[in-house]
Amino acid sequence: MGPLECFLFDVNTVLVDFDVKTKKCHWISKSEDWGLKKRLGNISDDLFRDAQLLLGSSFLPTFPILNQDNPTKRSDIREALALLNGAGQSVPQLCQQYRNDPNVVQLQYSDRYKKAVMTIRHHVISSVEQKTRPLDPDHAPSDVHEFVGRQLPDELYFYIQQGIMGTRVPNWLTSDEIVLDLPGGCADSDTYRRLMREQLNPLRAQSLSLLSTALHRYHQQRIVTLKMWYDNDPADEQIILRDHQSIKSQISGWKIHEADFPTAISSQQVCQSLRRHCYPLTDPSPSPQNEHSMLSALKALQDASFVPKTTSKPSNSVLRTDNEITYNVLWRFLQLRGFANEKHELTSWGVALEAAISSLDSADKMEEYVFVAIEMLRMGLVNGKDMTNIPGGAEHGSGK
Amino acid sequence: MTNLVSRIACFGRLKHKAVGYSGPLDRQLLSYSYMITAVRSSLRDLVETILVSMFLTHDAERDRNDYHELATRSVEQQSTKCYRTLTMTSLPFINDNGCGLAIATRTYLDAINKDGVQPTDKLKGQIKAQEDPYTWFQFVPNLSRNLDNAFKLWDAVGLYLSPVL
Repeated sequence: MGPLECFLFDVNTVLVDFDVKTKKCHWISKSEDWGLKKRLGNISDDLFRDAQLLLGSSFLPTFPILNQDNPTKRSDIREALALLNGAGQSVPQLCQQYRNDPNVVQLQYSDRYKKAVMTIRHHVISSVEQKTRPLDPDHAPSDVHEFVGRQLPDELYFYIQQGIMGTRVPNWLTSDEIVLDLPGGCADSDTYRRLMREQLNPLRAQSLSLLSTALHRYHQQRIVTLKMWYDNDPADEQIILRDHQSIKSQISGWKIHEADFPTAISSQQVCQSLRRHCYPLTDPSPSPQNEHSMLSALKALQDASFVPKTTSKPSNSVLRTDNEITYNVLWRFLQLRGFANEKHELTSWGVALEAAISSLDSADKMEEYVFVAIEMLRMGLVNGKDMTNIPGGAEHGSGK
Repeated sequence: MTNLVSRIACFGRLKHKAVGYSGPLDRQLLSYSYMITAVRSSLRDLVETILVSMFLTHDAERDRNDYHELATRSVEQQSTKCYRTLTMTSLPFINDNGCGLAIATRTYLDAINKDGVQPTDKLKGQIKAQEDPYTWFQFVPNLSRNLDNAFKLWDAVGLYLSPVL
């Protein structure tokens, strides 16, 4: 099962639909006797790939001429083939034909096509042996990093595969840019632009810096720029990682072993939270609930017998249990977000956060919502002001 | 005020049946929920980066299972489970919340304030119980409880944070 983009790679058959009830599945094949290539006139692999690329994919936008007449209708592969056949079956030649078309020029289509072909040919894959390498490495040019991005340590790829980290921050680091698009339906307001362009940068800088200091020194010298949907090169907004080098050392004091945890943090808590997060959409059963780990982490910092233990002895032994890792992550996080200070005490924001979260009933599971609300309050984004210039409210809205 | 209360409700999550949403829409609240999503996912990025950097710098035990034996199935499952416990269940900000609760709250507040007079408890009850003609959210099993959550959020955020501001 997969997207038809798989055909761009060495994949012959893609399952497109699978119905458990009727026990039927549908698939599309590329090279079989009845496959797509035969049906399109026995075309070559390269021509098939080029035609597919012209239709648009995550590697290359749709060739503008294909959408020209009717932007709402999606072109099919026959139309793409017809275009290609009129240009000697070559995309660069096709771009040359349309070199005066403003859309083709603006997209830098020819260059991006070449990049896309190389990206596909030498796409980075993960092998069963947990090695990350480009396809056909023997024939890869020496500047593969120019189009697939720089390589990170295998260890990091392993964590990504294990699902403990997403790809956003590593991608920012390997490409030196943060590409931001406007989500569908979202109003393109000044408030939203400012949030995406300026206000989130300190948070992004913390993540980038923290990751880069755990990697090769090369990554710590990078300058990451933004690419906005309305501005390709906002010169004033960039994250200079050299300026954020101290983040790791600020929080490395948090290395607290379970033996020193306040008694309130029971060893079963992490397992409990597993059950808590998997509740059905219907009303949860009224079983007794443990408090949220965020609240326990905050409460611990109010415990006069706990805090001195966390700052006195730098520990050399590594953290092992789930509980140890979870809470140390949370404490580090609270400090980086300004809810705790370097002496491991709650700041006034931390005190307010603890109070707000304590006021909730843990059965309602709303702790995280309050946290995000407070972060946005600090950015000045929680108010009743009109932020979008869009008239009206809900269907029955009054706008009051 | 309606704006502010429904925006704070936007941080919460509407408990909805597992079918497509069919209630009222609101582009302002949708846009607001995208801002929340942007902040929430940036916070999640930071949490994940803290976790991974602890492994990369060996503050935390990396050898949670023998990596060389990962290819063998039983070990792989065990190891995956171990990492999944760490991320999916114990660390916050992974789930998005959408703008359903905000729209429900706004729709309710607009409905009870419609005539500009003090709403009666009877009217509030009818709307909360989704009696005809107040049937905007067909697939919300318990609107009343969802609204309670929105108001609890309002209390928690509003009441406790006013001193700091």
